[in-house]
Amino acid sequence: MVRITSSDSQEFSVSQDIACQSQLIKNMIEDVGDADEQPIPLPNVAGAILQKGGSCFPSISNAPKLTLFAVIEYATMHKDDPPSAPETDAKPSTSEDIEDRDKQFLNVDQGTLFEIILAANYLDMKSLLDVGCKTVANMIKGKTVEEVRALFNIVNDFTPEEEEQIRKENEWCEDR
Amino acid sequence: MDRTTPTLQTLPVELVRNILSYIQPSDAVRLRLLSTSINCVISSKYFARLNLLRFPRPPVSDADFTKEDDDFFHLPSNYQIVYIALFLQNAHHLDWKSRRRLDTAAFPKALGRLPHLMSLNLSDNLIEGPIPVELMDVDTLKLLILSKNLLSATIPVQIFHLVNLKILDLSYNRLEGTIPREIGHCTELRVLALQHNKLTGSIPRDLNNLTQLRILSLFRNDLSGPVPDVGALLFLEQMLLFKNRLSGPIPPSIRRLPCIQLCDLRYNEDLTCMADPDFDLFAEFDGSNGDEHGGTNASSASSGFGWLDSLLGDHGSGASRGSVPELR
Repeated sequence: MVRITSSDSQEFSVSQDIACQSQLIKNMIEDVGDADEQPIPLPNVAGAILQKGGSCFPSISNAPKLTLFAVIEYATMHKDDPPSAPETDAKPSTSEDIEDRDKQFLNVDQGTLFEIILAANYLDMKSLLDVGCKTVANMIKGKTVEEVRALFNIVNDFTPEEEEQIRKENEWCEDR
Repeated sequence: MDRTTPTLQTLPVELVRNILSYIQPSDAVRLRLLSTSINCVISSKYFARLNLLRFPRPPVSDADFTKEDDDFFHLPSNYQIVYIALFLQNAHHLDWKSRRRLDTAAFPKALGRLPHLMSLNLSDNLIEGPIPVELMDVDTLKLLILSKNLLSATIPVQIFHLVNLKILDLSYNRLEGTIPREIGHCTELRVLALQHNKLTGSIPRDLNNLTQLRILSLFRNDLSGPVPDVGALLFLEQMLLFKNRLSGPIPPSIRRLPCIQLCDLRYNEDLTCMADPDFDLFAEFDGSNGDEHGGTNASSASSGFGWLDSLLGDHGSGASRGSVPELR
């Protein structure tokens, strides 16, 4: 077992093969040898997230909303996946090919989704990062610029001139 | 908890880039309007590269443009540069005729980065602005057709660094200024089509260097001065200089050209042929020996441009077909 602690000092104990889906943790364990004496600190991943919304992970109902917990949950779910081929570069990949269990797993509010993406990025978990980014991309697809702004609370900070310039350059793709 | 809930705005740039890269390029470009920071992400070449790698150009049997490439023209320049680097490096022939949408587009300068390009046909696409000098870097070009666009400004002298050019068609545009003397560098030219522009000044005498020339089409411009001596153009078949403001004596060498089929000098200012008072400003000839048979009916010279297809050598996959020359 490997012990890891979140930024808010919550400690989790997970089996090594699950923890090592994080390239970061894997590297740490390899670098320091046996890791069961001291817990691995993960200062960039919160254990708990303050949540206003009522959504939760359907697969772990009644569990507290924990980023690290969620990430561990994901890693457990995927522990028997064949190792993905080492990927050095982007390759053709659509955001449609998300497994149902991942869709369900990521059916959370926006804040949690972004927390998970940030954690996956920090922990270097490529498959979770990809599926998280695809999920956000799917939220954007098919929406107008105004709808996307509303969805993510994006403030239009262009000057009228800048906006006009981009509109002009974008004319060709607006009326498709 | 002292950390605030993250939003799309507060994510690190590489994550925003990753997210947006899953969106179809033409839709992703649309999202530039979201905010300055997102515009900045989408306008970078690195984003364009990631995005195009996720949505690659479908492989086609040859490297030519297909309808899959239609978006290319309108994509921002960061995409165009990457698109060419990723997918079109080996392109020999880009035939992109009449693919216009309803709006105008600037000349895709990135085309100047194609190291093997032999023919480029962008005819009839509402391209506006000047002809970019970047094109001169494609010194493999043999055929360059930019006709029927809205190209303006002068013909860049650098075009004539393309000494392998066999066909140069810039007709039906809004080009101004003079025909550069440097035209004389392009000694491989078979077709020079500059008709229907706003070209002024005199026709450079350097034209007489173009000893391979078959078609010289400069009609409907505002060219003045004398008709140049073209006596050295032994393969010249058509000489179309009508509707200009040419004046002065007509060099008698024209009628001695062995291959001449059609010569039209009508609607100019004051052309005279001292040596031959009967010289007809419009003349069709029936073949190789220069027998004139009057210029009354305008049954178009039955010019089989068979030589056009063989022009590009073993690549002659009809790249020239139906593209040149567009006479009258």
